[in-house]
Amino acid sequence: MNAPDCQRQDELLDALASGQWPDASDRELRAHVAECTECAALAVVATSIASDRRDIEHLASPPPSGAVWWRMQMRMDREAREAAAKTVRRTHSAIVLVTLGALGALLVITRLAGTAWSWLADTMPRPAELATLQHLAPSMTTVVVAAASVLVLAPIVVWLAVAEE
Amino acid sequence: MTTTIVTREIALLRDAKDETVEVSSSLMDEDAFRAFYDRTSRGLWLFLVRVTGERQIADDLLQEAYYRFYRAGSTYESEGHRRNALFRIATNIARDAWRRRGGIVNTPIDEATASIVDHGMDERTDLARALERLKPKQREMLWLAYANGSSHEEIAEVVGVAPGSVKGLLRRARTKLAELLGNAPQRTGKETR
Ligand SMILES: [Zn+2]
Repeated sequence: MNAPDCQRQDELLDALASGQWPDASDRELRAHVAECTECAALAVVATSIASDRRDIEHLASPPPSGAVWWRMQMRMDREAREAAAKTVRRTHSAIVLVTLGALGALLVITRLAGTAWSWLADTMPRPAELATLQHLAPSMTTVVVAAASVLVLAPIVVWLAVAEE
Repeated sequence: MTTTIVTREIALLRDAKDETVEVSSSLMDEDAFRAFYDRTSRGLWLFLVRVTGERQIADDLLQEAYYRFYRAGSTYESEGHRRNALFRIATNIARDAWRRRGGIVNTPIDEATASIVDHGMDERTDLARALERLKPKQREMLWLAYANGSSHEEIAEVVGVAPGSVKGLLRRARTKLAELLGNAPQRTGKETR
């Protein structure tokens, strides 16, 4: 629980703010402050801080606003570029993973299809038309070239998309 | 040495921020920002010097505070609210810096500080040394109240406490500082507590 402040603090604060404290202030107020712990602490703290501020005011040398503005813009640009590069890196990683996964799956499917095809060829009578269709089955080279194209082109596409934003 | 520590602190602060702060779409234009900066930067610099206890940290935190304030791009009802928001950001990053330094206000005097002392510009007065022995929140509140003349509502907004608690917190901070300044009056029967 907080005890109430001394009732004369507002009066003292007014005297401090108007610069009347201590010499030009009411004699009775001075007598009170000499006796009251709280008001004495308020007077000493407020005058010390206010005079400290006056004393160090001349040391305040913040950089010029133009320089601060320029640095902020540079930093904004840099952070925007870094954020874009991060997006590209993340997207690229995702594409590489998906493509490698798809490539693996395709290899497995191709191998199974090949095995099935051989089994069918061995066990079933082969019509002449079927032999002509055999060259349409995807070759391993086609699959690898397609996957490599995706891996190379994907980051470029992502970069262009992000740059446009 | 101090320079390296400060630079690292600022870098850490920036890294921490990058994860959380979104760039606002309603940023101040150059003229408005520079006018606001010119009105507030000296006061903020003095506040940071006394709250952090070190001039070089104040220099760096000042720019960081304006950058975060600018990036947030919030709109305010009045100049007073805008100013309070800036001081609140500065207060938070000063506290972060303080925590990163393990709760130490002032680092040992380095060459840069020594050169300031040599040129008769020592800002480390008796008051500064006494402030260093207070809690950060006490330093902030006392400076806002008696150097900036902020109201209790403004202090509450900047420091992040309930407006109703400002009076009591200020009184405790005043009593402590008066003791540290060696000006604690004799306790008398007139004491109201
Ligand atoms: Zn009193």
